Amino acid sequence: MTSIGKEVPATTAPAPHDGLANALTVARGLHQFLNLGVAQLDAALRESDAQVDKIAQSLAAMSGDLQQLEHRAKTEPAANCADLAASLREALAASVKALQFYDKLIQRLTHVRAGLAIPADATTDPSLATGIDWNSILDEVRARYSMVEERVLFDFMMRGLRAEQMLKALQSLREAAAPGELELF
Amino acid sequence: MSRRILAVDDSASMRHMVGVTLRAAGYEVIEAADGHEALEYARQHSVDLVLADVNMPRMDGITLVAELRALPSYKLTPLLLLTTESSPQSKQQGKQAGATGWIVKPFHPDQLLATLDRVLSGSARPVARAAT
Repeated sequence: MTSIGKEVPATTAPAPHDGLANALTVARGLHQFLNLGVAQLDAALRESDAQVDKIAQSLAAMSGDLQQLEHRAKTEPAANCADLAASLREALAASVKALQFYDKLIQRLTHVRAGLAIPADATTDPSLATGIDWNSILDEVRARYSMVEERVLFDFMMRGLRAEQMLKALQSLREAAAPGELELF
Repeated sequence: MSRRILAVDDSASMRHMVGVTLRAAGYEVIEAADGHEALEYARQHSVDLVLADVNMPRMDGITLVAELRALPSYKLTPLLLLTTESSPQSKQQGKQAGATGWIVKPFHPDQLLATLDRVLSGSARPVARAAT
């Protein structure tokens, strides 16, 4: 369950310092969303960087294999090219797998955008900002997530885990997800 | 005659990755950008297998599966969901809608081809079409 700004009651009797208390609640709420965005971007950058590195390695391997293949094709029987062809195929498959990071990246960035746009819209009018239900906004943002990883990251953020702890937990989650395997119903 | 696969994903890059993988193995691949587009195609043509993403605009993959299962010609067609989503709740929704199975992205090309071979009743991989 999400919670923000619990130190300040949602409804209080009018008092001279109400404006300050409301401003603090808004600031706390926005702070939480900004931290969430930072954590999401950190996770996206880290994973994307690793996948792009794999693509670069695959391309380098393919380039080397291709050079050798061209050389062998001129000087040796075709049967001697089979291992290079297999190596090329493997590098291509690795690239196809790694390139799928882009699909995840777009989903993540779309959700980060929503996580910033929704509270931004809610605080556009300062006179209405005092009545914002931050918890329902958090729930609305979380409901848009399409990946378990994102929901877990969100829940970790709300529990106040440190970035390193979260990224470690996310790594374990990815390893447990068994990507590519068919689960028959 | 090559098997016809309907690949449904709102991400053009994912459709390319699936298309490249399956066409290289001899499948005929029809691409659709969302469930609505896929359903329109499926109503007018026959396909041997549908490989659909879950989260898509206009019509998501789970709704697409339910709609296809309601068509008499798709009662027995393998319908696979290929998605980044891996929660048990979502899988349960897919199962209830009538999906044949669930694959979590990212896929490895060899693994995907082996899966399709297996789901398409264990028949041999389709013969590659002659280059034109």
